[in-house]
This record gives sequence, C-alpha cells and structure tokens, in this order.
Amino acid sequence: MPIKKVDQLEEGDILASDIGNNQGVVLVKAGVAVTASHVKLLKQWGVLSVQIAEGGPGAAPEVRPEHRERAASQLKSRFGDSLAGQVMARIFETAVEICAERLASEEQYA
Amino acid sequence: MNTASADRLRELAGNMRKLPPLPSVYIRVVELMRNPRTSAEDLAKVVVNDQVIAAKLLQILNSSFYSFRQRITTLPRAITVIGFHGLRDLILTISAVRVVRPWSAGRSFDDRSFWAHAVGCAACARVVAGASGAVDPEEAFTAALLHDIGKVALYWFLRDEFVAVAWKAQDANQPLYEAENREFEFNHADLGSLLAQRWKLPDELSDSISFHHMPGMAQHKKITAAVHVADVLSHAMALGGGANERVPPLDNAAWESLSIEPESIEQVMRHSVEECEKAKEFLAILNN
Repeated sequence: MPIKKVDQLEEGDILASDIGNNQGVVLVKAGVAVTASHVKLLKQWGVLSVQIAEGGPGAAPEVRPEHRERAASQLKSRFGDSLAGQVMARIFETAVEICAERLASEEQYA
Repeated sequence: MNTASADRLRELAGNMRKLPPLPSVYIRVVELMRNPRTSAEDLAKVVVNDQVIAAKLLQILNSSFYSFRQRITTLPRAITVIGFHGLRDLILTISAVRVVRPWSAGRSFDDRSFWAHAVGCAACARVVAGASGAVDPEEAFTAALLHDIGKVALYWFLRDEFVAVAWKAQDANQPLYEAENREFEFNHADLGSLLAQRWKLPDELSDSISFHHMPGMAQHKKITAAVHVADVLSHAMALGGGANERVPPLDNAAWESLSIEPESIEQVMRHSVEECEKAKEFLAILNN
C-alpha cells in the first residue's frame, strides 16, 4: 500500500488503515474517502503520513448481501422494541445500509 | 418517587451549589446581552480577557466546521458573523467542556466515548435543525453537545453506583436512562436539569438537557425535539461511538413537530455522517 504525506493527500484518496491520535482515538476510519476537513484534522493532530489504498480516489468497496445481513442482525438487537412505526423503520433501513458500507470497507482495508 | 429517592435528589440539588460556576466571561457576556445597547465591541472587550476562550473561538470559526470564505481574525468581526447568541453558545460550549472535564477523571468513566457521542449527536442535531427549518442549527448543535451533561454530574456524585447501572443497562440491552430510573428513580436528565439551573443556562438549552427523553414535557418544544431526534439517529448509526448502547425510542409527536418528510430520512442521516467528520475538528480544538 502506498504511503502519502498528509500534505500531498488528494480529495477522494481512500485511507487504507484507521488513523489514530496519540491517545488512541480513531480520527478517521479505514476506507474513508479523504476530504479537505480530514486533511485539516490530521494536521491538527500532528499526523505526518498515512497509508492509502491502491486503485485511486473514489474506489468504493462493494457492499454484499452478507454485509447487510450482519448489519441488520447487529442493529435489530440494538433497536429492540424501539423499532416501531414507519419513521423508525426507515431509520433502521438507512442505518443498516450505512453499517453494511462500514463493514464492507473494514473488510476491504483489513 | 419514594421518599428516600426524593431525599437523595434533594441532597444532590444541594450539592450542585458546591460545583464550580461557569467562567466569568460567560456570565458577563450573558449580562451584557440583556442590555439592548450592547455592541459587538463591548462583548469583544469582555471575551478578550479570557485568552484561552478567545483563541479557541477564533480557531473554531476558522475551522472547516464553519467553512467561512474569509478568515476571521478579530473578535468584533467574529461576533458580527455569528451574532450575539452564536457567541454566547460557543463560549458556553468551550466553558462547559473545560469545567466538567476534571469531573470525569478516573478509569471507570469513558470520557472519550462520552464526548464522541456528544459530537455525533450534535452533528445530527445541526442537520436535523437545518432540514426542519424550525430550529437554529447552531443552537441545536450546542444543545445536543450538552444534552447528556447530567451523566458527568451523576458520575461525579454517585460514581460506583452510576458505573454499575451503566453496565446493567448494557447487559440488559436497555436505554441507560431507563436503567437509571429503575435504580435511582431519577436519571441523568434530572441531574442535567439541576446543573442547568446551577449554571443559569438559557431556557431552551436547559429544556433540551432536561427533556431530551420526554420532548413533550418541554416548553421549548422544537429545539428539544431536534435534540431528541438527533439522539435517536446518532444511536442508530453509532455515530461517534455507542455501538453497544440501545437505540432510544422515538417520540412521534416530536418527529412530526419538525416537519421533516420521511423520504428525507436517508439524506439527513448520510449528511449527519459527513457533519460528524467536520465536528471532530471542533472537538479536537476543544480538547487541545
């Protein structure tokens, strides 16, 4: 995986690993497409270089049915009986999709 | 509530008086704002007396969180851009973080997760308020950032019991406030309410801290509804953390009061994820 200086990052570069600060807090997660605000945040925490994914900017990981199934199973238990009504059903569906995208990206950049 | 619990809450209310007040710069700004003849220069003269707050204020306004086209380099200019209420809310946020941080010292309180959830919820509240059009997004951001401040007070006063209840809630897959109600017959929102009184916070912020689980009880219903919905959304997405925490139930009347179309939910949630990334910069400035 190529390593880039934070100064040379381009918008859309995909991070290949979680970037943490010196207290162990994850600032930006693996698989995230870099934006100007990420670059500013990384500089602020004194991060000098990061590992980026091959394949160039914007290469989004593929979300497969098993990612959605895992996401739905995790979220069903956290929603419990709060999952009632049309609005919560939509919130649940979107949360599943967002969580599945995170799982796919974690898998791709693990 | 039984007598013992009522006595305990009364005792906690008494103990609140022993907690430090907010910095004098906040108190002075609030006083000056009551006078209609106060100018941006008058407020700037007060703010400049607290160099830490003044520096953080300018740093935050020049961060990507605000994305102003031009750099803001002076306090009078900052106040003109964000307005008196915006100034008050930013000073309150910076001050509150500074004051409560030492209370959560100790290994049994996950300070990082607490603030990560606060920022996730604040990012959602900013987006929800914008989508609704009925609430000022910056005010919603501040209210949401402070909505759970009672947890830190509860930890400060009832450390071991609070930690035990937090574990119980997680094991039983129960929202924390329900577990607190079962154990204490009051919850972190009640402690937040006492702290808001101690600090004489503006009514709309005090309401959203006190009633974010029961938005129907608030007098300032719209902002409390925005914080309530943001709390549900940020838990649903585990935005900023809280992946082991139960998603609280949604109050449908609060949702409806915001007039957000159900078709917009996906857009609101995805936009909140982006806002949360920007808000991390905001938190980094507060923490430094």
